[in-house]
Amino acid sequence: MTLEIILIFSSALFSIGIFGLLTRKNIVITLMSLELIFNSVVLSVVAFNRYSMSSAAFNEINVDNFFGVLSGNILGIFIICVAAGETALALAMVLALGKFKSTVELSDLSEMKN
Amino acid sequence: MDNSLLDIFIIFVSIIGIASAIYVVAQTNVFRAAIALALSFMTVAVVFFAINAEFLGAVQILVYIGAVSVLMAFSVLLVKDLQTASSSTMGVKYILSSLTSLLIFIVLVFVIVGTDWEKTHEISDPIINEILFDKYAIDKEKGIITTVSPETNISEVRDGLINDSIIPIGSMLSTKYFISLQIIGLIIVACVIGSIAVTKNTIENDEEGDIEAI
Repeated sequence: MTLEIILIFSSALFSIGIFGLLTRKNIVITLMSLELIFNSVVLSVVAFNRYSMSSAAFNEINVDNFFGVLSGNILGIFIICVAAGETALALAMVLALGKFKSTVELSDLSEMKN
Repeated sequence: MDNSLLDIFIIFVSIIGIASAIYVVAQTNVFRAAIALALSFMTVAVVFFAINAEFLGAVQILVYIGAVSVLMAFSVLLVKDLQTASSSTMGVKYILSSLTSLLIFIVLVFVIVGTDWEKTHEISDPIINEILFDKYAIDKEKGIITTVSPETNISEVRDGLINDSIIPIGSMLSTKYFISLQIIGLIIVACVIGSIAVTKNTIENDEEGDIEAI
């Protein structure tokens, strides 16, 4: 039951993120929606790791990699790292855009269209 | 913690998280949206702590609340005219987007509720018993990996691993996933160098502009 509750929470966060990504034009709020999506994915991965041990996770277990039980947490850490790097780069680009073009609206950035 | 009590706690926390996430996407003030985003991340961290993933919860607080939310708030303060964002315009696009996200949510909930998650556990049980999983376990009193008899219950071994997850995660990151960890470090270094390059260009142009103005 706990797994279902956490997965519903995660899917709610995911769909709210999709909604923000589709409707908002501001770059920073778009980035926030992306972070919500990443976060929901990490949450569901960790919940699966905790509550539903698949046979694939156990097949790898031997003396050398005994701790394969927690591989979902490792995947979560990697997702968080990549998301943090991406956010840092994107916010630097937001700063540069605010300096050069004096705009942070996605609809104003259409030079590469056509 | 009792299981039903844990469920009620997680439901309560999830409601706060969903409300703050809706506040993020509906808010026109970007600074307030950043603060609400921090609250939403915090609720996810609380859920992590509740389901025995303490390391992930700590990483969530350090990276997301401590770095990402603060970085967003900083960028709001640094960029002119960013504080008040344009609100989403009502129209066909708005209705279509809300319908799309609602559809995604409904489909996901149907799949989650319709799947028998206990069954996947049952399927994997005989396979677990076949493997030499019962050779090693964590000694809960001493906190070390020991050899246990084949009679030890598999779920006990697994619970021991999950309850003391920090030491296993550390040893996994330094042995099996060592290359992956290095590659992640390389990616973050590339991101940092890229962001420094982008903002450095901005500052140089700003100084040149000042000289021209003089």
